[in-house]
Amino acid sequence: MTAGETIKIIARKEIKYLLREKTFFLLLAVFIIMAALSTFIGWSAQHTIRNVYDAATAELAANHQAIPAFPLAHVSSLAIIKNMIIYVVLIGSLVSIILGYFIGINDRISGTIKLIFSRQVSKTELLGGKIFAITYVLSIITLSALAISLISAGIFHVLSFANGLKILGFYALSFLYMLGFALLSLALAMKMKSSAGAILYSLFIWIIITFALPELSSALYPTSLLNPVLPPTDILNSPVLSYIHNFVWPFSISEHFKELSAAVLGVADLPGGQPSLYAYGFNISIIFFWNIFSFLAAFLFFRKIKPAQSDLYE
Amino acid sequence: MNKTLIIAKKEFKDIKRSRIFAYVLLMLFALTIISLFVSELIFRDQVTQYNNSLAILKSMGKLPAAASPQLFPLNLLRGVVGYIEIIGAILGIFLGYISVFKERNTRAIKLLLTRPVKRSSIIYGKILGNFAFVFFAIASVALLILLTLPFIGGAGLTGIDFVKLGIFTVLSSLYILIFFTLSFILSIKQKSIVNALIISFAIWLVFVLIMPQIGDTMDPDNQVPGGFFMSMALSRPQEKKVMAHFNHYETIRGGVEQLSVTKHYERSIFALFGIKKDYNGQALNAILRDQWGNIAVVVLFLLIGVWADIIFFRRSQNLLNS
Repeated sequence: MTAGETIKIIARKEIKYLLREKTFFLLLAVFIIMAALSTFIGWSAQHTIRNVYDAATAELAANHQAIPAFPLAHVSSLAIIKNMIIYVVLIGSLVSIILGYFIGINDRISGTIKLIFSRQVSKTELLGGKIFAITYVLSIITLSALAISLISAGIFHVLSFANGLKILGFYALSFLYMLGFALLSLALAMKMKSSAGAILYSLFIWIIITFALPELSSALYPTSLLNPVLPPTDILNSPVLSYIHNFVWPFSISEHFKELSAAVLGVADLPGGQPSLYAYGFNISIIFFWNIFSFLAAFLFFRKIKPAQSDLYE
Repeated sequence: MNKTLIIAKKEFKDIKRSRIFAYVLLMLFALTIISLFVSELIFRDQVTQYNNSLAILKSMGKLPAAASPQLFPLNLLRGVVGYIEIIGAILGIFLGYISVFKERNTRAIKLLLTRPVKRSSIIYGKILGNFAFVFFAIASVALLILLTLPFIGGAGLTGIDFVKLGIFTVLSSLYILIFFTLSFILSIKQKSIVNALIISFAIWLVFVLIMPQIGDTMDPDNQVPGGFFMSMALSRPQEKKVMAHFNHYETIRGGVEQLSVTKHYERSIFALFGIKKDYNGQALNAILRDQWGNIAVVVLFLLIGVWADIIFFRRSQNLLNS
């Protein structure tokens, strides 16, 4: 049997196992439902703010006050989809963690690691099969969310060829972002001595990437992530914050993803003007490095597997 | 000694010995320090910007319209509250999971039930032991705040600030314990205990992150950096008058937020610490009077959780069959 065939068999087995995990589908359902709801929520908020503006101008006119221009006049039509950026950061990455966890841990919990390595299967082939399974499942999840966003964009009359391409670009980026989490979770699921530890350490990394690093690099409070518009923090005015920003910013993967996604969808708030191509190049490089780092972690942890000691007896 | 207390003591000791919980605590401590430090830098930056603007205005012979930024030390805890909301809830989920997992894994529960110990004593002991640990963890965070705030924030705390930190410790412990009861009940009910952990996370995701996010997204004032009403130069009474036309929409938005226990916890603590500016300088009695509804919801969620834990633990066969 060739290595390619072995990898395919392992991937098929992993996917079959995953299909039995109802809890994975529970989290996946949350992601898919939010993908479907996000456009409606975005549309509802935009529609209401227009009406609030009309009511506000009537109030200002009645009091003979100056009437400012509609503050969202310049906003792109795809702004109704921008909630998906937050949902990928919050839910998509967690779904990926659980995906990597299940695919990494199932052999260990069922006690079949020894059995697998008693056959002519190398560590690289096992890893290859698991990564193939993760990539395949994640592609289907991403494509489903893409289809939902395209349909909902069509329903709210914002779907053009250009906008379709922008949504496609955003989901390509989302796939890369989520893949990093799935690979890292796979690595930890193979490494940790308990199943709870594997999930907990993956969550630690998720918390650091999603909440702690943005606070350090851009002075954003943890719950600021939940807001559709980030608070104005002109951090470069403060020398100390600016210094910390320069140091932490390259590692703040979620911010790179959010910045690049907003640019791809054309919904970025750009008070400081349009970022350079270099800035976008840096964003995408970081997301690629994130994947390379996660892949290397999975590769190194797999190399260290001791078949006789890897099974978990929980 | 009372059997409930013996079980509570054992539960507390078990948790203290666990490396996982040591890491969670360390993470909370580290994030608390980081958050205080960043908040202080933001405040200092605001003061610098104000002074620069003041100098420019003075050189033009004008007077500033806005008052100088005033430091309320507890305002610097906004990030810490955010971390308690997120990591605290995760801590609660893991405590509930581990509490059942160790009994099922070591089969100690079967041995325990051969002794003259009632199931009610076991569940009360477990809840008490976990509450003691959570209280210890949050009290440590509060102590860390007390020790570092004068150095980082450069401002002394008053007696009332100590009382507020005490209320924060109790309310945060109750909030975290809600997630303990959720995870505990699922760990009892589910045949595969890891599934219980993942279902708890799905519920946590919906109630702690998604519902508040939907509420924030639907808030018209959140659509513009700095606030929509500020950008329209509307006064507070004018804002209320305008929003009176959108009662139906606001009811739905408020309803989504009301479903999240996290939002109730956040509102009460934000009011207590004056992070919501309207409460700065208000007497503690007035704040508590205004926030009793939010505090009551947190307590109610916990009581429902404890009640459900007791009922299901008494009836559960999964523990014995594991």
